[in-house]
Amino acid sequence: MRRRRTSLFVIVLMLAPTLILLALFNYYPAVLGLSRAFTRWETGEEPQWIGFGNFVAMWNDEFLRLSLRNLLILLIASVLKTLTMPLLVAELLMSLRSPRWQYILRTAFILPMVVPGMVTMLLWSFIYDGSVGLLNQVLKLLGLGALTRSWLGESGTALWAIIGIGFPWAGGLALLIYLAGLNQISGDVWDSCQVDGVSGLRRVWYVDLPLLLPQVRLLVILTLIGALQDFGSILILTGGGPGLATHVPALHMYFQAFRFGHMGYASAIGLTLFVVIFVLSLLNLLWGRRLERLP
Amino acid sequence: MRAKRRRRVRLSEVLSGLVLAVLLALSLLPFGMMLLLSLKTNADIFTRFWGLPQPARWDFYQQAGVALKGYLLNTLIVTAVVVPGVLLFSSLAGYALARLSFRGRDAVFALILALLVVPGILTLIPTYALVQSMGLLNTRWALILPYLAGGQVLGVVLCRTFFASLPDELFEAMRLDGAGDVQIYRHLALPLSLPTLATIAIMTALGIYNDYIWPLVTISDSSLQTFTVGVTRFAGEFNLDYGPTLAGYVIGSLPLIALFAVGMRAFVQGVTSGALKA
Amino acid sequence: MPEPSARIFLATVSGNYREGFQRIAREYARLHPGVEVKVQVMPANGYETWLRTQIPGAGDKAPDLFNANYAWGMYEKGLLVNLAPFLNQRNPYTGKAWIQTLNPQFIEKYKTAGGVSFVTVDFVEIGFYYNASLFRRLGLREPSTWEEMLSLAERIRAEGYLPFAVPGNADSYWSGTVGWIVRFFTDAYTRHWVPLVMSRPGDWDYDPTRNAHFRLNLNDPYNDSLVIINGERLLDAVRRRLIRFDDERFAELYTHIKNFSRFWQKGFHGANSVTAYNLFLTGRAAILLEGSWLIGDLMQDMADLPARARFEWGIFPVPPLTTSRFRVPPFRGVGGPGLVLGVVKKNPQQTARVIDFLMFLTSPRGAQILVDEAVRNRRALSGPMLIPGVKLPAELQAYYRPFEGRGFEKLSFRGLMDEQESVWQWTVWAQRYMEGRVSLREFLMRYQRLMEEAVPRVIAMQKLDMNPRTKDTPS
Repeated sequence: MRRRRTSLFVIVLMLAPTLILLALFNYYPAVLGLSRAFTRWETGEEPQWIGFGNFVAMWNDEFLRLSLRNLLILLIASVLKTLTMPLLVAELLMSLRSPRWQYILRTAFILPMVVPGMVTMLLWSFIYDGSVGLLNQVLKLLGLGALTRSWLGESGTALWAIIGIGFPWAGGLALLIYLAGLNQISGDVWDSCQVDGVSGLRRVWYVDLPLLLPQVRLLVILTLIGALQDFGSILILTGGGPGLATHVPALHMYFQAFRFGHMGYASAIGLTLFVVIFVLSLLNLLWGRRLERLP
Repeated sequence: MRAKRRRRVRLSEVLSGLVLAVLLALSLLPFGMMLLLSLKTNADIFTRFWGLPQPARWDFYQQAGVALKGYLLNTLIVTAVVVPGVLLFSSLAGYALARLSFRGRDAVFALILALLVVPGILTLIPTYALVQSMGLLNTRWALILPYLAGGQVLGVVLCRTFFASLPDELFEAMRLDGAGDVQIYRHLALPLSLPTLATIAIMTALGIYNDYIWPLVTISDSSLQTFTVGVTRFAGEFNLDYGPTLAGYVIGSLPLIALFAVGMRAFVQGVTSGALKA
Repeated sequence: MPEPSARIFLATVSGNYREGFQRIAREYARLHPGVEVKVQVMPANGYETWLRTQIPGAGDKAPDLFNANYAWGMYEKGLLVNLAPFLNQRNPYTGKAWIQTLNPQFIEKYKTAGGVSFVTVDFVEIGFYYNASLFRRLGLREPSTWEEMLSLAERIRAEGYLPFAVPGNADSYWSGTVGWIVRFFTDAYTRHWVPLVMSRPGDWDYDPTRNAHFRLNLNDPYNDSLVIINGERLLDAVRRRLIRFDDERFAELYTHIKNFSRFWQKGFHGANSVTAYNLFLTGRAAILLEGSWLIGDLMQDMADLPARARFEWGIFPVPPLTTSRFRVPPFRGVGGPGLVLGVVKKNPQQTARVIDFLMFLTSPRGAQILVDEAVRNRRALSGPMLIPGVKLPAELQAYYRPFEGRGFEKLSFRGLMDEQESVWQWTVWAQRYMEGRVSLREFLMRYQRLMEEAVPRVIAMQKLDMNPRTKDTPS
């Protein structure tokens, strides 16, 4: 059948709003972000090209260097959190035979997702409060009053307190993705497992996990990308302190740009984080390719 | 043999239920305490932390509501402009990219797809500089325009994927009836894509509601500020009382809970598909 | 009713004086039919932005009177009225020269480029609030020296109470309690640098009436309070290491502060001012370092407590340090003016009209109205009144006494000249030092380095030519 061609005018009209908006607010800033990283650019002044000057300064910035340790711990912790508890809950939910209970419990577990992120953060800062905090109250209730402290107020605990946010880290996006993955594993596979006497943890380890690898791969990269960029929660909870105990590179970028006015230097930090994210995404892609080639 | 196995299965199920119950309780405990403490005075919190409120101070909700009203309204206004805009523009573009043939179509789509790998951390500062140079700082446009643009990426991808998945016969039938592209878009594509549009709408609204850094840096006037920034500041108005502050957190959660209640399916789909495409 | 022929627009953030302003407006209108005074109370957040758009551009719609501490730099741009010529005019509401019922020292201290850009109505200051009931129970009295205060803290701790509630987050290091402590300590330990960095004859900001007769006298805590410091001389002294931050003086100063912190609550770095206040209000902490503005809130919160939780409280000023290897003058205040009102330049008739109203507002009668209405409406005053002859309720009067006559600190060095990057870096290292994560020596080494590194940034930011004789105006 011969297709009638749509007039160019209509096509342009349909695409124009999207393309204009994207060009202005997405492409232009992205290009600007790449180029301004190589300039000395203070708030309110014209940028001057300085080559790799900002990157040399980053190398010598000891605040940035000290923040890398925190970032590394946060990255490892966030991946571990994503890989364990939500998977456990997903498996336990799948083991329930009543679809109604499965649905009810799943809904209950993802309920915290609909509480605004900022409210959750503020709530956790209340939980960690040194005087009336929920955590201290629970410890007192358990007769562990000696352990009470201002959890975000001491270098020794602040970073771990930030990692602890959302404990037991069971719900959220990861749970939904694992459930979707587990639902795709056909009932036949599990039936034959049962026949072969492969059950419980052994089935999870030898059957489910290999089949869930695409989901795991996705969650790992999403978690890493999110954790590399997130600084809003740290800004609210500790401002990077006490001292540098919870300082991270993204927060450093924010301070440099919006508190100290070093837009060029901050752009260089932003570009570096982008490169790290990009490389991680590529590695993740290669991992995916390799998985597909496996027998 | 058979009986034995059934008993074992049941036991494991009870165990699963037990573990799930404990985890669920731990997950929901902070939110439960938020509800409980939001009705208590400071004195009540300090002296009888776990006790029921005596008396329940429902007026804290009114106080918190008054303090947060302006911020919530600002978020609502921005959302009410951005969400329809995103739906309209991304469905138009998605339709063109999926159902119309023209030179460079795939290139255009690839260009949009490429934006999925550009993280916010790279564009935060230059977008700020752009908005500043446009003279939009401290106006609603500083929020609306970037949100409108940012929502397009996922919106176009989801719309195009959906429109491309529809069978050609539907479109051919309408074409034979003499319908033009605009009519096909309006009377065929748009109605069919309602579930997809709901997903996009929820994702966009969720993104606006949870955004903290962007309004923080672009809006300095508290009368234009959004809920997420406002909620971090409004506590100062209550003479250091925890109750009304927590009541404010509850009130601020209601819009998202309402959204969730209305579009649970679209919500779950949105969150997962958003993740899968990102 | 006749249409008002003239209009005076007062836009303020001082909500505690809302009813007072409104009553003054009514009484003034009664004295001057045909003049309407519009009072608008605005939220502090966004006020400055609003002023910066209204005052330069909005013509007759702009406010006539406003809180001048939200508009630094506007006077220099010629947008505000220089009040100096009016100060010696007769105030028709007192029959005396206007300046005679204002506070001349405050007016003098806050002169800008030789002119007077605002009049001061009240001021704010800090002091130690203490639980008097607890003090009595433990047989303690208000301390008269710093050392006495610490031994008293030892007693309090031995009795199972927390001696001091202190917020220690980054905000507190910058603009809160820890910042104040560092400021009054540093001010005392660096007083001997004033002659080095004050402006000298020939400098652009030299004022012989203020600097010519100054002789450093560590026995008189206030004799330098009107001395003008030249910013370029200060920066130069840091650059040339004439002022150092790693010497024995700073070692002693920061040892004192760290010793003091032994009596603060554990994990104070995680506490904000709300947390600290609650520790005091619930009777767990005996002492709280806070501003004069807290008095009203504290009276009200105390009344709201259940009877058995209520306690008596008092305030003592920061007591002087007596054990030092160096000659250290007594501590003085870190406060400043509270309600300050500036006049927007419009036309001569309007200026005359607004000045007349301002004379009424700042007369003892007007200031009395502000106080009376605030007290009657259970609103907090920000601090003691600077208008002589104003009567406070006896209870308030007693509370305000420790804040009076304290004078203001000169050199503080929390970062270099409040440049935010150096402030942040100082906060980071100071917090690490206070937590015991870096040694005193390492902290001082970092302190010295970060201050030196800040010099070129400040010079660039303020566009200074480093010649104290020329005025360099930042754009």
